[in-house]
Amino acid sequence: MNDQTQKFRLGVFVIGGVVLLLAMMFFLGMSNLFSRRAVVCTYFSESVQGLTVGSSVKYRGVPIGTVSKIMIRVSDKLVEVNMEIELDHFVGSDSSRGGQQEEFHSFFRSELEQGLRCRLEYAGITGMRYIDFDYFVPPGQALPEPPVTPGIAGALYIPPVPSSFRDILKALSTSLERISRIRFEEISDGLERSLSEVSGILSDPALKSAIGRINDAAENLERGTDTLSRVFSEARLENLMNILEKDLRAIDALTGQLVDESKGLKLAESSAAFRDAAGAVVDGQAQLANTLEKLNQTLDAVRMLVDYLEQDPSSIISGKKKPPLAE
Amino acid sequence: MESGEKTEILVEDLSIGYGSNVLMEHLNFEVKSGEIFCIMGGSGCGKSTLLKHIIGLYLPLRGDILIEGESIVTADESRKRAIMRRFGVTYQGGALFGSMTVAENVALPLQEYTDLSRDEIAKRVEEKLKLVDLSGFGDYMPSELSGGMRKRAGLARAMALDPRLLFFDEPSAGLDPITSADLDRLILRMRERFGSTIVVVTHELDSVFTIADRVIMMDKKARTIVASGDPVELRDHCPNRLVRAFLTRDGLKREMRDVDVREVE
Amino acid sequence: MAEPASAGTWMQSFLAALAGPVIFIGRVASIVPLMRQRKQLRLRETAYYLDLCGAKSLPIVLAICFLMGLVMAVNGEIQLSKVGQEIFVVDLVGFAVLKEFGPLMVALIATGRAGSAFAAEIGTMKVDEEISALATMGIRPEAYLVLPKLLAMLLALPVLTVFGDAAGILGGMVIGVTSMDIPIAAYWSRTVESLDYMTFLLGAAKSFAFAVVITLAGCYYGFVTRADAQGVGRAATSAVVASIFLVVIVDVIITILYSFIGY
Repeated sequence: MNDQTQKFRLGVFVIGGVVLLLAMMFFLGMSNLFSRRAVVCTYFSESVQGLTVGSSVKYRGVPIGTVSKIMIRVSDKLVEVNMEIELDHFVGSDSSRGGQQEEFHSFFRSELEQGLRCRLEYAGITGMRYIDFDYFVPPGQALPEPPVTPGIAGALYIPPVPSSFRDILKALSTSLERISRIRFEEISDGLERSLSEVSGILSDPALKSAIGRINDAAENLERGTDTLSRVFSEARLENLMNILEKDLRAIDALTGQLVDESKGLKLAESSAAFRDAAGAVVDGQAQLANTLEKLNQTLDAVRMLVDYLEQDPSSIISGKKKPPLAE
Repeated sequence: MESGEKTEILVEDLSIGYGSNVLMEHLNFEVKSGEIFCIMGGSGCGKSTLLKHIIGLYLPLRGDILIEGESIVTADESRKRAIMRRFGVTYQGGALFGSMTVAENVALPLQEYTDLSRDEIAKRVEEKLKLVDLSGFGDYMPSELSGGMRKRAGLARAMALDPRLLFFDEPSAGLDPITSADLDRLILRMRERFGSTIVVVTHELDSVFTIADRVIMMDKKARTIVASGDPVELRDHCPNRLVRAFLTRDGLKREMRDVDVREVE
Repeated sequence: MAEPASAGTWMQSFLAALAGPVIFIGRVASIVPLMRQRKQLRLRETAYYLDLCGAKSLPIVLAICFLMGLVMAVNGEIQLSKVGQEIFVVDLVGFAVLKEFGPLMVALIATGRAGSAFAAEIGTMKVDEEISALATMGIRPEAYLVLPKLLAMLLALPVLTVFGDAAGILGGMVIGVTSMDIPIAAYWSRTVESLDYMTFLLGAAKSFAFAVVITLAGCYYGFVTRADAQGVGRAATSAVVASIFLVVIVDVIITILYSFIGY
């Protein structure tokens, strides 16, 4: 009886231990040892910060393998990343799982022509990265040649595309560069100069008298027309015609004088438009100063952000680190 | 000196002790084939230690011990074990293995050294237990036995391989006189049945006079053997007064108190 | 002038103290070749000790490792919440349990249970002259007494460590789920993601070394038991103290060795 319970307990102990051992091995990745794999590789020219051996490799979000090796080629400073793809994740046309190496290769080759590329992506909040396979470029593009022959014989080369994070950084730095090329001071100077010129013209006394004379001439013309209609008769017509002729000559002369005097100037409405414009320019100058200041602040902020991101890229996802609690 | 033609054990100029602490020196004696040989002496004089030297557990400081002409002192490990297998040793407390039943204890040497089948071993074990009057106690654990029964079980185990040499370390220690007498009868029965040569370490006079063919007396102060021979003869005619006193029990305490054996000699 | 002399005697006594264990290990090593014979394996004895050090130790191992995981998770939560990264409690508990606390706790429990029991058992046998009896039966005491214990411990400790590892992770999970509101599935997937089987295997492999150390220390102190009233008790105490010390030393050495291969 006692002996039996001892044996039973021993049996439970040993069997339980072995089962638990196998279960833990299985869950902790031992199952990988038995799956068929294909090796693919890529070369990154950017930093692979956050990528480690064991990082996952996904095909459009489906985890299909892990990074098996990361090396730096001293000749060209490219980072060579080898990945092991578990063939179990690919279901063949005859719904058989885990096809052959060749099948996998031909599938990937055709997909490469369809625009399949790999890219570094952030995995969650931890700053860890994974490699994503997706159709990042339009189909039919020429395949870039691998920069060197793959380190592992038979490894398929998947060309990389710059990571989205890298795109953001690049766009930011180009914009900054372009903005810095705008000569704000010259623009500002030019504006100021035109403004003073305009106000100089507007305050010119000649312009005022010319406008007054045009008004007078128009009044005269109106009065003449009135008289003309009142004295319109055969007897006086000839006399009138003479007077008219004289008047016309006077008008002519006046007009000529006016034209001379107001050379280069527009009529009344155009001068009003000018006045508006002058006001707008004055407003604009204030706004411009304001805008310039704001632009300056923005530039500072953006530059700080870029500096910060360069030091700690993962913070774009995880946020600024909290300061430690006060003692 | 009745039956000894052949020398089984020969001890030559033996010194025993631990490190620099010499217990006994210049020990010379021999044990003849088929005799019952008693080693006597006061407590702590080194009787048991001498026995352990003879059976090869300890290495002597000096001298040699020959078992059937072969030195157990200089023998290499495997030779020594071969010699030791001829011994059957019964220890003071029986020295049974507490984790096994009595039968398993007795069976252990058989399992170790013979290729007997399970049934044959069981038969032999039963035989040996019957020999020591323990039939039916095979399934008991040692802790369930009395002291005398444990010693008898130890004897059964010692007899398992039918040894030619039997050693008893204080067989009567801790036993009442009746049980002790039972054990003495057992020892005699062993020689009768198997013609074994038997060495007994004891200080029990009743035992000595019942079983011993020959005794040696050791003394702690003298650090050597002070007398040897037939116990009755020694009791009656030994020139050493102290030996006579020891063997007669009367006045032993008085005599032993402060008399140096050498002075008496 | 006295200095070199005392250094010499110190050296001598040190070597003398070392000689005992070294000779003992030599004697045990000399019986290892005998293990090829099935008789020498003594399966019955081995099963007995496997039950003693393994199956019967299981509840206490599970309890202690579970509580260790719990405690580590609570402390990890307190610290990691300062930086807002509580999810890393999973890594903390997982790595600490698999690499250190699983094997170490099991070794310490085994020291308390088995190491002292071995010393006491062999010590008692020595006092009762059972060791002598074995020798006169021509049986090597080391083969008879040490080998089954060693085999049992070599089997029991790794198995216990596996149980302990699982219990520790479970302990961390309990805190993670109840106190930190991490969903079980998230905790589990983070565990699977952050740990790998080599960490687990190398951690569990340590317990082989611990088994050897504990068994040898326990048996050695049993064999050198003095036959007096306190002898056996003293042997058990010495065995436990020496075992704990040696286990930690061995753990340090193994950790250094592992660091060479990057674990």
